[in-house]
Amino acid sequence: MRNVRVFYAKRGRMKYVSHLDMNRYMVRLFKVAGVPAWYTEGFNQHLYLTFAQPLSLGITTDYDVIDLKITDDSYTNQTVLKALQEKAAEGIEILDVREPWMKTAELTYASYTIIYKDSDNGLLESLEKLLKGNVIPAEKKGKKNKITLLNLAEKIKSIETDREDGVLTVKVTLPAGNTETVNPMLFLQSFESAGNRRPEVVIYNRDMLFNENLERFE
Amino acid sequence: MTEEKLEQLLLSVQKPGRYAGNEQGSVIKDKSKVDVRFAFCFPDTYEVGMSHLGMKILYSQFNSKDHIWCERVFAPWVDFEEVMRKNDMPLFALESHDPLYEFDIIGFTLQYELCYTNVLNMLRLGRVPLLSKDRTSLKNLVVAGGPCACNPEPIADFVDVFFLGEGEEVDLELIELYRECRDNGVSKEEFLRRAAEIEGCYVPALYDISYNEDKTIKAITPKDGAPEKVQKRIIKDLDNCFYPETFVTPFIEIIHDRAVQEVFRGCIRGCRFCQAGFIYRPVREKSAETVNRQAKCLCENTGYEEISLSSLSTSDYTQLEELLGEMLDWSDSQKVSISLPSLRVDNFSPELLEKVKKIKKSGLTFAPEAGTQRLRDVINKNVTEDEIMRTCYTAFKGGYTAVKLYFMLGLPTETDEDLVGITQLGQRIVNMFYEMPERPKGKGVNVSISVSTFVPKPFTPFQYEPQDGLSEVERKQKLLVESNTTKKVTLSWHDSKTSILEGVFARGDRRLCAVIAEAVKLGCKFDGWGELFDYDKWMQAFKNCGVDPDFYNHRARSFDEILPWSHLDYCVSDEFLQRENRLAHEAATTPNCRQKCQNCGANCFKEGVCIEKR
Ligand code: SF4
Repeated sequence: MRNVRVFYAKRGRMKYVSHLDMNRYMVRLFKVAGVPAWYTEGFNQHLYLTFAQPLSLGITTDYDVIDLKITDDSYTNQTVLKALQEKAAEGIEILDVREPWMKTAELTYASYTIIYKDSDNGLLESLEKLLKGNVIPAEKKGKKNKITLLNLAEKIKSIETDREDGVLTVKVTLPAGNTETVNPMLFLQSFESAGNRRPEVVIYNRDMLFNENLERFE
Repeated sequence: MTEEKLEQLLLSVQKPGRYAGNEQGSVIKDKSKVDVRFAFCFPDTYEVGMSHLGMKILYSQFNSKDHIWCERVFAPWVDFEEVMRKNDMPLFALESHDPLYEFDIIGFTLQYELCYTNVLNMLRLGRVPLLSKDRTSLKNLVVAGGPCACNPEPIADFVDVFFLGEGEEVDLELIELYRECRDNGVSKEEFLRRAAEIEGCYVPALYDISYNEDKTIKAITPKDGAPEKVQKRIIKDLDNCFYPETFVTPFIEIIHDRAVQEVFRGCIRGCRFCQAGFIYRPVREKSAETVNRQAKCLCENTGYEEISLSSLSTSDYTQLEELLGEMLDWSDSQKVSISLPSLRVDNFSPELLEKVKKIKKSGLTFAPEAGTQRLRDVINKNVTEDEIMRTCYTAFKGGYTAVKLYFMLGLPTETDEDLVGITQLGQRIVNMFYEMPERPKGKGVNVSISVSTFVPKPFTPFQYEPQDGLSEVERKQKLLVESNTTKKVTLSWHDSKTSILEGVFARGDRRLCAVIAEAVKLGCKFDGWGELFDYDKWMQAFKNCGVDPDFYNHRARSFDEILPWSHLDYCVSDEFLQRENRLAHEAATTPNCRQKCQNCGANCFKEGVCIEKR
């Protein structure tokens, strides 16, 4: 038995698949692909898999990670990769399969690309203003719908903006990991409360996962 | 509608997964390379429709033909409908996202009467003219099948062709005729005339209905060479009939999220209230070898970890023991659990029980249907109180502390005594629990009793019977509540108003088409969903059209009345149904098909249980 890490991208219509549904889908995918995955023992046996970082409905990703255990050592990473690639749904691209190099706990940041429609420049202006003031208030819904207030400005590890042809592209790196995760969709609220109309979002994409030193999570 | 715009809109609704498509097993074809585009419409939500076996079978079968591309369409939930209307977006199919009006053939499956407004609403949202006569070309041919097609008259004006019976063969025959006629520029009238020659195809436009003074039907007159009687189709050899090798497996959770393996069609029992028990006759089994092979294949291809063995009464399967033996050979190691719905425990051998122990039990439910032995004899539900008590006893001994019982209210000949019998039976089960020395310790018992309102259905011995009115149903429900003497028994029921409507449509005629169209105009939809069902709007629709719903429900029909479905032949004879009706009124039971053939008419096919050695 050994640990393997599956790297994949989730694109297109797959973005409508929520985290919970994605979990069920992946279990079936491993089964259909004939991957000899390890099942938990006991009363409620189930295929054991862990997502490094859940992804909200509506966001695509270029880089996501699932860990599982393989019971049959004669199955090479290459075999697993091929089998998964063959059976994956349109929009799921299996990038690689190999042993984990970092511990899941080391995951600290994620970078995102968000593309907004910004026909009149208003969004960019208000974002710049918010950033300068160093206060971007947002409400985060936690367990049992408990609401906590947070200042997004303090959470941003890095941010770049680019505006072209009525479209505002924001590249932002935010905490993502065991200790703290900030959902990039929270920016929407902040724009609204800063007096803008609800901006139209064209794309939410997670680009990469990182460890504490901003090295790619592998 | 661009894909980008659609994405925006989908993210604003409750469950975008209902409309996104792209599931594992969904079929994408190049539309420039297919010849017939078929929209398979299920007039309810995605979660309900995707749980339905018939749709899975036909979807796979149609798509197994290179020249046909079959796609799925479901009724959009109200939130998405609103978004669609606001954004001027037509209803679309999940695979291509193309609008409904682009399809050659639009097929509906009619699983329950309360879906009729959704059928119309879907056509409307898909920008397809509602009335058959307004669709003048062969484009957008509207067809429908399923159990409600046995009396499709309430929606006869909207549908071009109904399929009677099982669809696997007749559907493809019609599609072939469609191609031929379309390619040769044949008119729609001529196409329909030819369609009526296919066995199992009912073309309502080819029948004139006239009425008597008293509103009953005077005559059903075929024209243009249409047959006097349209006979249903059945699949004779289920072992060699198409069965899917894989299912579309949804991302979002649906009602029955598992593999489903059909083991037989029909039912030997002949419960007199049950339409399925008559219209799917005769019982035809698949061999254990076929069932096992198909089940294994399905699990491998879908990745499902649960498979249910499906039929109207799976414990009546003659090769059950052998089958379970074969399936347990692989299911354990594949981490697949087998579930057996609709189990009757009375005919289980010890060996079988041993096997069933390894199998997932889907809750403990029984359906005695009536509270006294007399009434159970009336409906030919051959379950005795002894059997019910014994099964509960075994269950309690095995650690169960809750059982669920299903009953019906408003059955023919029912008295208040029969009703009180329901709660009394519940009480006796509770008493037995507390008298058992070996009962689960430290726990209470719960007997939950679910009572539905009886609706007489076509092609059953009760098709002649009146249905209880609203006030009578409410009186009986009150009586039930008052007769219940313990908190250990909990009572529940469905909204009785929906049963009124269900009854009207079940035995309705063509004069209801206008009422349904009117109700849709008034905004009725999803009538089977308590939170959306609007009884007052419906009554308004009846009133606006000058149609009296009571005419359909509160009237006993004589044996010689022409019924709206008299020209449809489901191969159960009138003599048989009338004999069964008389026996019901004498509280006399009828043996099942395996005990003694009743010569019901289904032996005309010379198949299945009718030719079994007894
Ligand atoms: S003909 Fe006899 S065996 Fe066949 S379905 Fe009818 S009653 Fe049953």
